[in-house]
Amino acid sequence: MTNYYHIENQQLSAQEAQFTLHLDPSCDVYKGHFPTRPIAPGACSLEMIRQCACVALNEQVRFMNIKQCKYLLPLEPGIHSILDLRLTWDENTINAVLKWQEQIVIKLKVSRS
Amino acid sequence: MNYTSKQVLQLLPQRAPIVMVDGAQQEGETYYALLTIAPDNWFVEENQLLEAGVVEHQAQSVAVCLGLKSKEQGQKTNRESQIGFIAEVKNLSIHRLPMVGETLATSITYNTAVENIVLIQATTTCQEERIAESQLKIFLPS
Repeated sequence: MTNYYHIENQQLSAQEAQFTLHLDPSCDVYKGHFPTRPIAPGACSLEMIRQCACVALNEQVRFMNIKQCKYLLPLEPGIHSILDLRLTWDENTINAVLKWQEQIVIKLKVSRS
Repeated sequence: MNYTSKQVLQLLPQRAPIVMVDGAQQEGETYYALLTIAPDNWFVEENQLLEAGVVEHQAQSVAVCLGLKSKEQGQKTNRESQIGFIAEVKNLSIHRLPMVGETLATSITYNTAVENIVLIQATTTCQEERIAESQLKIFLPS
């Protein structure tokens, strides 16, 4: 998953984290997704969120039980390059909201068990 | 009946490096989309297929299984390799992360279609072992 994104900024606290993320339009994945129309693969964005959750919780976070993951805005990497991710969590659940400007891109709820 | 990776690729809009189905098989009424996990798979990390790789494999399995089914029914549609997006993943359970070299087989149960959205239950196994199941909503822009 090299160079799909990088973290531009992060603010971490005990039960919440904010990330500013930058999608890289030159990532190889866009050669295949799709050859005629680059769209950020939903699965890659899910992995990006998981990696941020590992940073935020300072542990190996697995997404083995996803309650719900809604994709509300297909991302075109040249246009939607700067994204805001907000993570909140408790003992049982991690919630993530990924936004582009004020629009929700992904809304995710993962069980930690 | 078995389908080659070349036949499967005709049903997918994705291309390298993110092709997550490399074969298919029909047993009775059921289609299985297959993937043998290569070490250089986009979603492999430390010899395991990541959760996101399981999700992407299941989503592409939807395109392959629906494509084969419509071929069987003799529909000469433009549905072949139509671009689709994951709209929702619900109640995904992954029982373990699959390893490089293992072959996944995913079958789907087609629930409903509302306008451009199809609802699917996907089940992934490795040999006889249950690996993952989920409910997927796929958006097919017209």
